[in-house]
Amino acid sequence: MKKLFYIVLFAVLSFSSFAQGGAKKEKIEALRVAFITEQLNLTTDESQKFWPVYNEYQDKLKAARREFKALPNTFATDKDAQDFLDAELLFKQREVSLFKEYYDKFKKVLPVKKVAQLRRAEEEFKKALIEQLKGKPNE
Amino acid sequence: MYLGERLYKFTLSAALFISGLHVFGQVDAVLDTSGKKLKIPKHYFSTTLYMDLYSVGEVSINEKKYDPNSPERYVAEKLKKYQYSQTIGGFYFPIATKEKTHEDGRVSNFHFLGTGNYLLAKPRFGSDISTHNLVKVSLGLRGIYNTGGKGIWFIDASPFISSDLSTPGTTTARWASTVLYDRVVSPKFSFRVGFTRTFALGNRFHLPYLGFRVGRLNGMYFSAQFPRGMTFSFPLGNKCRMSIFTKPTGSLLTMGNTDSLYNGVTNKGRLDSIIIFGRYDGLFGIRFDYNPNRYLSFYLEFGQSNVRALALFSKQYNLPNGMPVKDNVDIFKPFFGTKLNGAGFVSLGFAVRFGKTRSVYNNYNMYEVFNTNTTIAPGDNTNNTGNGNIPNEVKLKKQKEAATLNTKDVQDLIEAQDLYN
Repeated sequence: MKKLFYIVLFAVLSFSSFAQGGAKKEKIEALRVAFITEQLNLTTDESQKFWPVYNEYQDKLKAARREFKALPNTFATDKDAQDFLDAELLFKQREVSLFKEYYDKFKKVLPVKKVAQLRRAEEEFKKALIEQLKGKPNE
Repeated sequence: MYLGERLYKFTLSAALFISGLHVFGQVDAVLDTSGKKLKIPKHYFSTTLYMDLYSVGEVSINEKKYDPNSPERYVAEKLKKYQYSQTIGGFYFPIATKEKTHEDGRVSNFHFLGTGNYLLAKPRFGSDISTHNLVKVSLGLRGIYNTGGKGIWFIDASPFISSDLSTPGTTTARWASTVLYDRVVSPKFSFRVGFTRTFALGNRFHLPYLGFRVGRLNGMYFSAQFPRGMTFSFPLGNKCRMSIFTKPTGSLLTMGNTDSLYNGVTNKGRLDSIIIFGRYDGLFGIRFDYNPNRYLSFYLEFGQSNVRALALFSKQYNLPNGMPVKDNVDIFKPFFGTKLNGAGFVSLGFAVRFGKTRSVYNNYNMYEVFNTNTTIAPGDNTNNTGNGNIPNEVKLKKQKEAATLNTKDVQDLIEAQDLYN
């Protein structure tokens, strides 16, 4: 059993270094959530209902983005380029439809003023990230 | 090959098969409002593999406290000393997750999990006693329903078999279970009430489950859970956590009577080929958790076991007036039982989580769901794999750390045109 423990531990440590890449993104996600929490000043009851819906919205948005970003961005033929443009259009449509679907859901669990503040808070957080990035050279 | 060994291989194969299966099967295709399929993670729980090592120091058994001609004296003189160590390897995985958005906007969900684990116990006694490697194998199910409001329901069924690897024909089947209701009054306070049938205190007990927590699970908190222990826990930075805890740990395992520990003296000469090994340790210690990311957790516990007991049972001894005890209800009476001197203990382990899961940021009900799942370890064990899947609380002053980010880190959050605004 001890031999097995060492084998599994070795596998875990190898897996650990592989998983480090995702940790940074998680941290930024957590920062965004903390930023929004501070901006919205939610009550306990609002918080309990709002975050599950918001997380679901973000999961769907991320899935749509991931799908679009997985497409090749070099085009061997005109058809490839046309497919890419169609996919981009679909992605934008999805963003808008998710936006509509979930802002309706947010209005069920938050006062409309806080829903409007949410949009502003997301933009403010983006701005903060951009400010940080602008100081860095392109990769 | 004995049944215990076969079950060990079966459990291990099941763990590997299930983890492999779930790494590739944790995505759900849902329709978005444009009618297209969108692939989002299916479950909140990851398929998780864990391992836990535990060892407690050697102590002498004081035979002089028994009458010279008593059966207890005979057993104590044979045992002489006692040391215990165990290894647990286990897994749990989501079988199904059902979610519903209600009219009032709250999101409820039901999590159906499969659990399995293998415990190898090595009690060591004096030179008169042969080596016994005791195993316990469990395959169970648990269901957790989060109402999306303040309530969480939890039910666990952990049937298990125990056996002595060194003695054929010693397999015994038992059943442990827990049912409880958890009320998340606020992110900083919750309480639990329920019922548990457990063997983790060194005998068969049917006990109420009562517990409460004060403080945030992703911050500093105090939790008292009867019969699972008390913990004061606080974060040390973003990836580490320290806890001071006291908890009971123990088990009821089957052992071959190859050393004639039960010789029938006390019960009209009725011998027994199987005896039941019961142990209890009341631990007080310190725990460090290290969670480098949501896929991995490591932990180390050490301290002192002060309230300790060892008991040996025999079914023959438990035949009052020739009638057997009700095997599913009664508490066994030991033919030998002793309190032990305190000794140091150490425990270490890790948990690996596979696959993508749904986001749970600031979802305190889900944090409570995760905590309930780890507090009540599968298979009626008392190890705790920690709450590495609860995102760490981030203080905004640490936003300065974002200065080290690059475009790859934030590409999901901003778009190219945002840079020109």
